[in-house]
Amino acid sequence: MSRAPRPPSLDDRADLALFGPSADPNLDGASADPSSGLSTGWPDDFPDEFEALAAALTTVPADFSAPADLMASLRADAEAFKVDAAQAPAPPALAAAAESDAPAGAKATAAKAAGTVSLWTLAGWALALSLGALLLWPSADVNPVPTEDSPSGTAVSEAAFEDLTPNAARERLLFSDSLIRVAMEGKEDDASRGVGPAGETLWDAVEQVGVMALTGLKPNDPAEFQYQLWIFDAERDERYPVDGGVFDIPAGAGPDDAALIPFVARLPVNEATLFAVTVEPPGGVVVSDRSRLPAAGTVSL
Amino acid sequence: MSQSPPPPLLPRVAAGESEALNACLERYAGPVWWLANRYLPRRADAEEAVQDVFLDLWRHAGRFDPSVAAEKTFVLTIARRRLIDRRRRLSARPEALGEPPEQPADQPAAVETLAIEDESARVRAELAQLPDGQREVIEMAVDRGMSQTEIAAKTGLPLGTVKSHARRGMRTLRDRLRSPTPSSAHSAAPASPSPRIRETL
Repeated sequence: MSRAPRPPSLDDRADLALFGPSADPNLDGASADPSSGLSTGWPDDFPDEFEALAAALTTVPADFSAPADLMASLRADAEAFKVDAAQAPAPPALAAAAESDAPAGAKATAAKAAGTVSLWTLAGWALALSLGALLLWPSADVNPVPTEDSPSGTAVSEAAFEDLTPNAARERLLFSDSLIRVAMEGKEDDASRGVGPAGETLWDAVEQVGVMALTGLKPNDPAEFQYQLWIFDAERDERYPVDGGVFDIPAGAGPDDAALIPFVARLPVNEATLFAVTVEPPGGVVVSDRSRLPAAGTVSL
Repeated sequence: MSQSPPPPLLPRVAAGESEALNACLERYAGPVWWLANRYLPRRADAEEAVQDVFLDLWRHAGRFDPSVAAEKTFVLTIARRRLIDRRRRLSARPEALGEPPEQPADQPAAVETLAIEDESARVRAELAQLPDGQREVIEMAVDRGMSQTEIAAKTGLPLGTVKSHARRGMRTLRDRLRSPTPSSAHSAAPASPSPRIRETL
């Protein structure tokens, strides 16, 4: 016969609010005693009175802003979240919350929120239409550099990756164990607008695939010029970075719209050091003169 | 003079209004980024944590109940939870978690409160009234995300003392804030059972 969990004590709640849960009650955080009612992490009320107190003690400067590259990444996350929420039969996190970490008192709220799926779905259809125009794959057949040392072992993973939507590709990378995140910065160029390009590149060094999220690039006429993505490899001649394909920013894209650009390395990249975007003639080039380079991001060691 | 808080965004997020997601970023990315910098010294860790916080926030937007806490309090609670989790995970790798920064490099000189102005000011005022030991332990936990062990190492206090300072301090704050009279009557009648803090924070 199971014993009913004892309600958390005031000390448990104070510990939890200040230090979070801990697997080891002798060290840090709230007691992890399974009978304490805190073993799943958080108390029933949300936030608990002590947590609200700790939050109220938190001071932040007025008008403190997040950096532009982080905001670009967050906006890309928001776009992905919209699509995921629209496509899911029920928001997975809400379902998970109702089943796992959500305490009894929160389940009703979670279920209520789950009832909003239809609105997300409607929004998602509209969003998917706009994303279909905005989030473009780089052309698969643009400037593949013929070579004998193409990564034969990556053929399957390339095909699978390219079958994904940009958002799904990004989501997949976010869960990769070999993920590298690179902040992208704008460079002075006519293709920049507003505060300039900013964003983030996600790169899977094992799968040799990535997704670049960028804001602040001007829409381009593909008949006039295209953007081309490059991957610099520490073990290759710096003059010849690996081609990541070309892409376009559609006319309707706003300055804050995050373009998601999935890409696949055309040649093996042993140690990515820098990701860059150049402006090139339609179709791209085999070797760029780098006269126009609106965005780049260096891999941090 | 208090300002009325702006209309909450999370119910709109929960209702599927896509514009509310970006509005949520505009309103809260700065404060969450600030807090992440306080808890996580390495920029990359802080950035990833902020992204995790917002995904968590959107996923759990339906749990926001304005009768329990203000939206800012809800957001900061989610943020603190995730930042504490990440900081604890990183603490397993000492090289990844050095001494928490005293101040982020780009911190403005004047610090104002994010939470509803007069309530947060009141909470801070009550904190200032606590005995030094209790106040310092709470400040190190709230302002810098330090664990009990880290605080013990930093202050030289026994771990048990750190725990008792934190617990007593938080209980005292809660009791005082439940009282309808602000700080002047600390030694007066014990807390009323009024749920005032929940209504106002």
